[in-house]
Amino acid sequence: MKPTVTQTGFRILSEVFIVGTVLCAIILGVIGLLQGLPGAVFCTFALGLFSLIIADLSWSLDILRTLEAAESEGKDTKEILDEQEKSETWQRPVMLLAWSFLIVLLTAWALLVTIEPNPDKAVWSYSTMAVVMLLGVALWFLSPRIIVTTMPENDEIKSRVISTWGKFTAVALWLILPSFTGITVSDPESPVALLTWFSKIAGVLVIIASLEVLIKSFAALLLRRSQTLHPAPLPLTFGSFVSDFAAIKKAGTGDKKTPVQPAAWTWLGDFFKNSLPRVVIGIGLIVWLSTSLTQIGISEQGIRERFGKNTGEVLEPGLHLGFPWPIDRVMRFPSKYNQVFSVGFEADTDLSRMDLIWAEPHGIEQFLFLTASGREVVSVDIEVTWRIKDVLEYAYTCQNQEELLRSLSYRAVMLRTNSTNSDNLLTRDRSELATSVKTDIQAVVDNEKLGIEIAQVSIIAIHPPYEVASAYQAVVSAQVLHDTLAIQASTYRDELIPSARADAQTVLDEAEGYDATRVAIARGEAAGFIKLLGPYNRAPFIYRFRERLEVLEKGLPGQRLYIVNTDFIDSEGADDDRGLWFDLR
Amino acid sequence: MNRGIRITTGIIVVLILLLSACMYQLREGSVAVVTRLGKCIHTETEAGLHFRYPWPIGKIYRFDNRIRVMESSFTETLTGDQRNVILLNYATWNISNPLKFLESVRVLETAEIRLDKLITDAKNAVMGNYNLSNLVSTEIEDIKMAQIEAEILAMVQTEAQDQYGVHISDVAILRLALPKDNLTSVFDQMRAERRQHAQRFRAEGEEEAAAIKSAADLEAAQILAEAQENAAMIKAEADAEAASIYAYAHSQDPEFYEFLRSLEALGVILGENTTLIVDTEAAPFDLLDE
Repeated sequence: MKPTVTQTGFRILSEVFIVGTVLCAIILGVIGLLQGLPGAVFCTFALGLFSLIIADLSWSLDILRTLEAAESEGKDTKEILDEQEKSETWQRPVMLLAWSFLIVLLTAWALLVTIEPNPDKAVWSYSTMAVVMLLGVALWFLSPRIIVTTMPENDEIKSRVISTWGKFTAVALWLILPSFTGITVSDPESPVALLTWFSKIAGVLVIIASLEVLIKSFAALLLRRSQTLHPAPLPLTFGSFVSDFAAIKKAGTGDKKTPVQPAAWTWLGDFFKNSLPRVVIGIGLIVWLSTSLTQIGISEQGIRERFGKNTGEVLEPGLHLGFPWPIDRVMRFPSKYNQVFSVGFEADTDLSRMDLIWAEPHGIEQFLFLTASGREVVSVDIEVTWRIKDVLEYAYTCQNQEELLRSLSYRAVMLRTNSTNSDNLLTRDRSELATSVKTDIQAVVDNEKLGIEIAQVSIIAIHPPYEVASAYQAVVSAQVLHDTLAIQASTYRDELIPSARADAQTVLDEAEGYDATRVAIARGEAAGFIKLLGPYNRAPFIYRFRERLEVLEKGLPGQRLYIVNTDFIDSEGADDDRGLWFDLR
Repeated sequence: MNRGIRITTGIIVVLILLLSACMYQLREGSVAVVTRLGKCIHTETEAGLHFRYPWPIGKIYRFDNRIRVMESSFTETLTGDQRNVILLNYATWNISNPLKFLESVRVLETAEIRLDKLITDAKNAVMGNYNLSNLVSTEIEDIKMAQIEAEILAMVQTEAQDQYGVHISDVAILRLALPKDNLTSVFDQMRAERRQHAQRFRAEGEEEAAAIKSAADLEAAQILAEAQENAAMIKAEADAEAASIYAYAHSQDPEFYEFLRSLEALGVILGENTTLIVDTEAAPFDLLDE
């Protein structure tokens, strides 16, 4: 009996998938190390690997059932197996090439779809994942090889169990980690997000399957009952293929007392084999019917189109029933959600952490506005917050609403800057400018019937371009210096004037003192004089005489004194008063 | 029974296939060109469900007919007064003649490239007649933005309509910028201007400080001078009062005052090293003569 087309196809498919994924894991590891990879790339592989497992399970089951059937009919199973082995050798290289090519394409697509503009964020998590995947690959290939080379030929059961265990651990490692860690897709509507869900489901299924196989294998190992054993899943690749295929062959052709029992296959494998069409159709139907239900989120509004025609109905948050696709289509808009964009600069992705230093470039890009002089440019950083006012207008007026809104806002700011000098701009009232820009934008937006409401316009900064900002700051320093000099001068004045006042007061006080003293002395002396008059008038001569002698007594002692007799002078006959000279001679 | 289900399912599937081949949906805000064997038979502008010839006999070309905004590429424009300026503009447009559009450009992207060229041409031509001050100026009446835009729009509108079946509803200037080389010199000039301002502030600061200081000096001197004046007056008054007191007292007996004053003066004069010649007739020396 020849192998069926399905069998061969499944086999080759599986083979090539494994080779391709190994290649891509290496490529991804390198790229991941270089720039970090988004989770969707891994999801692609999760999907691929899951389909591989299903294919492989079915194939193994097919071979075993063929063998069983042949055995029960009394045919020679050796012949069947030989033929099978032969047919597998020639297609391998061709299909290997084809599938490798397809997988590379798939990787390229995943990269294109998901690569982020800011690659330095996820380098570590993604490269860790790549390393884990490579570990899984190594485990996958090495475990059966080691077992084959180290185990004695007769300890077949043990070797198969361990090989199975190793492979499933590898699969689990490979799938679980990328599926459950670090997969974040910004746009939940994108096909990448759908892929993420599929890969999560695939991951869960692989976990269930590997747990089942693991438990059964260990149970077999403990119980030593070959009947419960089955050939290792995925027995096909390279070295492992040889040993596992040989094992099947041996089981099929060898001792008839221990026939292969395919009945003990995994539950999951059987489930998929038998009920896949029904499950797929059922899921498909449910998915299709579910398109008639739409949930409008808390900050959303929706509009419904029936056969493409707008029904004019605005759907508020809640669950809404309609006809399934393609009759009804519901479009949702985040109409109560405030959205923000920037004018004058392209903000970093992380707006909350933006530092605004004039003299340093901020944001990703600065757009300069030419001011009224035509010789100066100024940087105006504005953030506009907006929301949808009228969903129907918003949806049907314009194709690229946000772009138009941005353009209109730019223009509104430009119409402010082109008639104002930079000095006026830099010093003018910000809140007034913000309000007037908001009014301007709202006016043009209403004019275009965009269905948008401008919630807020905030002026983050108006400043000279950072290339010349230091010169502007030097002016501020000069202004400060200007004030400092004035303050210093004022300080000097504040010191000088009080001290002058103090001096003046001293002079005045001195004068007052002089006044008081002088008058007092005069009064005292005058009073003394008048008091003296009484005694004096009683005997003027006596008074005079006494006073004079007192003075002489006080003043004459110790003086050179010449006492001259007037008679002597007279007797000499001198007719003038030259007695003195006479005496001295 | 089983067979009946199969037949029903088969009929339903065939029906669905037939319907989907013979009908099409046109979404709100879209227009479609409907062709039969490659020839346009109808231009559908009404949204909803419509009949068609199944592929490959009939084909449907759908276009989004909502207004679309398009930003021009950066182009350097020379103004009438030979100033280089980068004028970025946007244009809003939509498809007015879907058939024409399909024939001449087919896709939005191509249309936008063509329109950009058209508008850039018109912009350059129009800007040749205007000066930079018509774009930026402190005088509101100098700015002729609206006029420039209207002229550009008038130049491109008919051609876009005739050539591409596109209606341009608005052409507006979005951003004014300077070419990179000019920007460098603009920066230099801005720096020089700021330096001038800074220097002025410094000089003015020094000037103000000097003024404050000299005013303070003056004020201090005035305060002192005034005080001195007052002090002198007070002193003079004191002297006068003292004098009048003396005068009053002494006028009681001028002779006695004379005597006392002489006596006092004598006491002072008779200091040290005085050589005195005294007449023996005067007391007390008259005693010597007896």
